[in-house]
Parts: sequence; structure tokens; C-alpha cells
Amino acid sequence: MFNYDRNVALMAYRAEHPQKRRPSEADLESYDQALFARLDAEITNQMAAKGIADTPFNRSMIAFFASRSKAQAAKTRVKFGVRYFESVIPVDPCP
Amino acid sequence: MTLHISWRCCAFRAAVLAVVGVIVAPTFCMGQWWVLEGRRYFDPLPAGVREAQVNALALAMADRVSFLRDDKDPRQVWDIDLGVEMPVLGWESDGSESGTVANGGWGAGGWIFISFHMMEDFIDDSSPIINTDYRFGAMVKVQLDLGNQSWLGFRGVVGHESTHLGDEFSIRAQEAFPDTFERINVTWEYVDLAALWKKVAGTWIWSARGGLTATVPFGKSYYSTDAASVTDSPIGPVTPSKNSVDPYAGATLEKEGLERIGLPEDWSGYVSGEARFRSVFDYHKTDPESSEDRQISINVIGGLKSVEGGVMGRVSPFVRFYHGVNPHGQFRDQKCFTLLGVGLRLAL
Repeated sequence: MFNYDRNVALMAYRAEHPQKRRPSEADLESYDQALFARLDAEITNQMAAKGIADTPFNRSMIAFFASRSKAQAAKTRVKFGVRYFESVIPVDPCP
Repeated sequence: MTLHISWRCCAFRAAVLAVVGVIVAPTFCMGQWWVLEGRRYFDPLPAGVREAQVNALALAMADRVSFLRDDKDPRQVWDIDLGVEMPVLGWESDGSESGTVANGGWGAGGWIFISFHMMEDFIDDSSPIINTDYRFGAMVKVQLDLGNQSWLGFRGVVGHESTHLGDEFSIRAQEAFPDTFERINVTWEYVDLAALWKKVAGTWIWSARGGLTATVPFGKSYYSTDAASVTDSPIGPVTPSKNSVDPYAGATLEKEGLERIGLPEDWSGYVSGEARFRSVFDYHKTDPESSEDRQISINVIGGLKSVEGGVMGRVSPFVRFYHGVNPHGQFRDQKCFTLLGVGLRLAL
């Protein structure tokens, strides 16, 4: 059971583990859970503060952008994630 | 009878291995292996004087060291560190995220490292490189996720250090001080064991560590004195060192997001310090069995870096202050050595 969109979690996983082209489902779920535990409370706060619609797609994309940040604090990572999200405004393919 | 005991012994070992295997094998099957991927189990201490990292202290003043021809004191120097830790192989019980173990799990891995540490003088003719220390070896790092954005890390290092005086420095020193110039071959193998606690709270990142560095074999001298070594002194016999363990502690505090004080929002500021109970080498002890004196040696750096690699990339301007036993090669017989300067470093 994924917290974020499975494909977005896979993108983030592949970006962080470039040598594992086909992670097992268990590896992917574990990574998704780690992202959720570390970032989601902050994602909720900052999405609300920025007035971003709370959809699974938006939440997943911000988690992806935040996962690519080199910062260490969740607050900083999500801040940059939101900034990138607002810059590119990704379109949900299945609204 | 002997055969009977061996059978029992073998059967017991087989039983133990089977039990351990049954317990451990599923654990390792469930975890994740990584190969040649970066992990932040136990980052080098930014203020670590001999950590494998890149620092260029380009504008610095330091106390004069022995055998420089000009008496000016203090004097302009460079202090350059060039080193890297290379991850090789590791395993994690519950995966990782942004290089740290996750989901309450733990991970362990092996690294190899290599580093060079050089000091250059700018007062004597030809601006001689005074000394270069070379270190290389392997390390094992372990990290445990304690939850609530905090981690516990352990590091075990096995390494070798070789130190070398600069050739221009040596040639000129031999000319100027023929009766006192000595060349001590500071070269040793060591183990370094340390523990680290790290915590992220809001936009603050705290870490504290403690450890010790010991010669291998335990009790071995930091420098060679045997006939085959290149240790050479016109002063008299060189006595081996007796101390063999240096304890140390370090801490780093980092603040991400400095826009409130007018800096770009992707900049962070950090302060890092190391305190090491260093031995003061004494090459001509009156009592060869006596232990060396010690001095607490402090290294503190503070700097700015871009956490997103934006304006500054990974380059971080920093200020450094060092006071204590000279950390360079054979000059570790010099107490109260002070170094102050600014430079650039590559930040993680």
C-alpha cells in the first residue's frame, strides 16, 4: 500500500538509487514509507500555507521534488519541493 | 579420544552456525544491499583536522615552525586538505532515504578513503611546502535510525599515515641548520573508533561525536626510529613515542534557511569544532620510558554553504581557528601552535 503515487515513488527511488533499475515491491514500499514518515507532515503544512490543492498527485509530486533536495531538514526540503512544484505546475494526467 | 572431541566440537559449531544462519539469513534477505552509492551514515567532521575532505585555507597566518630560515612569526601560510571517502558496499535493514537509514532500521557499509594534508610557507624563499601528510585506509560505518529525525552512528577506521617534509624546505633547512636540522619519519598505522549522534530539529541540524585514535599495533611509536628508517638527527638518539591513544570529541551545528538575516534562502550556516587530546612528540626524551606531554588542541570552523548547490555550488567559504599541538607531520613536537585563516571548502 503506497502513501504516494507508485510511479512517482519509483521516480524518486530510481533517482536516489540509480543502480537499482527494478527495485522489488518491498523495497519501493519501504522507500515510500520513509518519504512519508520524513516529509508528509511538512508537506501538509506547506501545501495548506501555499493554497495548493491537496490531491494525491500534488502531494506525490511535492514529495518527489523534496526528495531531490540536498537539504537535511524536512522543512527546508519541502520548501524547495513546493518552490519547484509552483514553478512547473505539473498536470495530473488522471484528475 | 581426540577424534571424539573433534566430532563433538564440530557438531557444536555446526549447530551454532545453523541457529545463527536461520536467525540472520532472513534478515539479510529482507534488507537491501547497495554498491558504490553514497550514504550519510557518518559524515566527516567539517572541523576534523585529518578527515578525508577538501579544504583550501588560502589566506592564513600561522606560528613559525622549526627550521624555517626567516624568523618572521607569525607568517603567511596555506593549509590544504584534499581527501575523499569512497563508498564500496553496504546493507540496510529497511532501506534509506536521502542517504540515511529509514523506518527505524539500520545499515552498515564499507568505505575506502584517501587524503593529503599540506602546509606551505610564503615567507621563506621559493615559498616552500613545509610538510605533507598522506592518509589512506578503510572504514566501516553503521547507522541506526532512532526515529524522530535522529540517528546514531558508529565508525571504525583502519588506516596508515605517512608524513613528508617538503624537498625545498629540507634542502634549505639542512644548509641553514646543519647542527640541528633533523628528519623524523612520522609514519604509523592506526585504528580510529568513534560514535556519532545526529538530530534534525526544524531547520537546525545538530551532531556530536566522540572517539579515539590509537596506533596499531597498540603501543607502537608514532614515528620510526630503527636503523632502516630515514629518521636522522644530528642532535642525538631519537627516542620512540610512548603515548599511543588520542581521544577526541567534535560537534557541528548547522542552520538551514538564512533568509531572515538577508541571505539567499538556499544558504545555510554552520559551526563545527574538534577538540583532541594530542600528544606532544618529544624526540629526545631524557627518560625513553616516559610518556609524552599532551595538549588539548582545538579546531573551529564556521562557514556558509548552499544546500541546493545554487549560487555557490558545493563551495563553502569558511573561517578557521586552530590552537594546540601542530598537527603537521614531524612538527607535532610544537605546542601552542596557532593557525587562523579563511578559505574555501567543498561541503557535503
